[in-house]
Amino acid sequence: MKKIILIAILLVAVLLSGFAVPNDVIYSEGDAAVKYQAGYTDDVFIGDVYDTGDTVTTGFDGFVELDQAGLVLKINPDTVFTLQEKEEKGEKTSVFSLALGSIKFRYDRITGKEPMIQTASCVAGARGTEFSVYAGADGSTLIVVDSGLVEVESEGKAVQLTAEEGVEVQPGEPPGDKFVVQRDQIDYKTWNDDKLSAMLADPVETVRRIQDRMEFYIQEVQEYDSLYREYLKKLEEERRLNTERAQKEGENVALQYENDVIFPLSVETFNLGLNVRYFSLAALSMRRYVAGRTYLLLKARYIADYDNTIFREYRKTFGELLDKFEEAIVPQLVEADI
Amino acid sequence: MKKLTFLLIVLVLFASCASIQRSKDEGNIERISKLINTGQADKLSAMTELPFLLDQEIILLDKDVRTFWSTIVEVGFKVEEPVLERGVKIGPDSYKEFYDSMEVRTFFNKYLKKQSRLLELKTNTGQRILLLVTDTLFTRTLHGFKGPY
Amino acid sequence: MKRTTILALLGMVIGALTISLIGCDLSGVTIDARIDSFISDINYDRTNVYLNFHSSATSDYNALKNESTLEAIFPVAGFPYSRGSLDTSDPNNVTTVLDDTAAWGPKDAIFVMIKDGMTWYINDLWLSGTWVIQ
Repeated sequence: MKKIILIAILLVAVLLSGFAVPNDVIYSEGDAAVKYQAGYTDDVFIGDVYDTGDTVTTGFDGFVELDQAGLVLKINPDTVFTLQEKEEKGEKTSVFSLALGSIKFRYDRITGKEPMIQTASCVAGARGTEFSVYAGADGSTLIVVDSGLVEVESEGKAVQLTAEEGVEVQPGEPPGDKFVVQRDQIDYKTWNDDKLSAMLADPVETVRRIQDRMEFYIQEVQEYDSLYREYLKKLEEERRLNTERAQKEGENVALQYENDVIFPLSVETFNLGLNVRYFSLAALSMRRYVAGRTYLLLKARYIADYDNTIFREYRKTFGELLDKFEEAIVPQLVEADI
Repeated sequence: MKKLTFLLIVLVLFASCASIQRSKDEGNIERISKLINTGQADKLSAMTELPFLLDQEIILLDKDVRTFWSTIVEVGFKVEEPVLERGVKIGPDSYKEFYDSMEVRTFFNKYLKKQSRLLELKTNTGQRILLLVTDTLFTRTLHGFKGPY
Repeated sequence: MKRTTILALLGMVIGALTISLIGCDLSGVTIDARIDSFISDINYDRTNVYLNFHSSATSDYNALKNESTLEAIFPVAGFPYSRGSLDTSDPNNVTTVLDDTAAWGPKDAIFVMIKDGMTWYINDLWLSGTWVIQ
């Protein structure tokens, strides 16, 4: 009964808003869990409704299908997937964040602004398509299009994919050359196993690539934060002047100025702050699900051989990544994020 | 005389409490070391609670915990002749022994229990390992592992 | 009789303990109480503001965890914030007027509420016709 009420309320909210479309679970099997924004975890059930900030994690035999008003999303086994949102020019865009594993999208129709797909290494935008995204253990991404058009962007470069085309993106690098691939030709486990082997063969290179991608997030955080602080200063100054205006010209004049100038500025400033949070949380996700996981794999492998040259070099480079993360991203995080 | 007797009783009780706790801590490091040395990765995974702290990394996925334990067993890692160096109740600065960061501090504040303990063991080669353990009446839970260093 | 009374009392104590242990809040949080809690947190503890919103339905929930993001919309200089009377006849359109002690308000506010079990949460907040918190 609670879920029916919740679904009904959310549907009303959707009709009122036209934004932030919730995702209904239309199918679930195997080991599948959802972690809500509030931090508590539950099993995935058909009929659940998920929204921004919720993370779905599937185990080796887990599979979940989500429906979002014209978009069907299949979450494959061994996947970590989060629904997020980003502010851009006063508009909110849904962002599907894939930290690990693979998902398949199918858009039945175009519903307003298409969501973006974000992985550790790239961002993809799609229009009227069916395509799969694979996030590798080393932070690399593979996108394969079955139908429609997908644009994949990384490190300032973009590549457009049409039907039966795929591209691989390494973290910190622009998209690779696109290639032809048949529908359902890619076996995610084999692809990911190859990535793991490559990572174990050259862990220093892997962490350097993660570092490059982290640099991108750090740059975005710093740019938005700088803009945010600039706007905040402007806002404070406007408010201070408006207090004087109230004393000199009267409350009504000041209130008019507040409504016409200051409030719109405050909303813009608030949205900039939300973007700082978006990129900070994206950096945290990469640190946790990509960098942290590679650390675990390598530590376990070299635990009996701690002074191994490769592992020592890896730890040194990993330490540099942590230092940058601590310096640039952690100040934007709060305890509730951990 | 009565006061002295009372004081002696309190001292004996206090000493036995401390020795009971030490005994528990020793039991924990022996048990965990034995599980590692006899390759019982499944049991180690079952006793590990999420999230799990590995050095400075917060591990969120159950499969990663399983991978960690099974891999260290696979590569032949052993905890040779472990001896309890110290066992202490978690305090406000305990997190620094793992890594001095906001994330690790938050992990300690949010995910450990009041009765969780930091155990330090030393092997026969002088290597040290830190463990974060919580004992209840019926369970023993592992929250963190650091080392060897 | 004495034994029955003792058993009945024991049963009540166990019941009360069980309820408190499982965190069962039989009364829930009303719309009024939730909005007042929100305003109180804006004034006195901004680290808790996000808890007044619904963790799933409010998209900005995670962003609000960092209390400094609120400064742009609710400047600290305007402390304390207050509200006028609430019209709670439609939970999707709970209206009031928010005000402060500086030149920020008064502002027309609409709280879109959402009920989870017995407890009401804020889903969205509109200020002066702008959808501010989603």
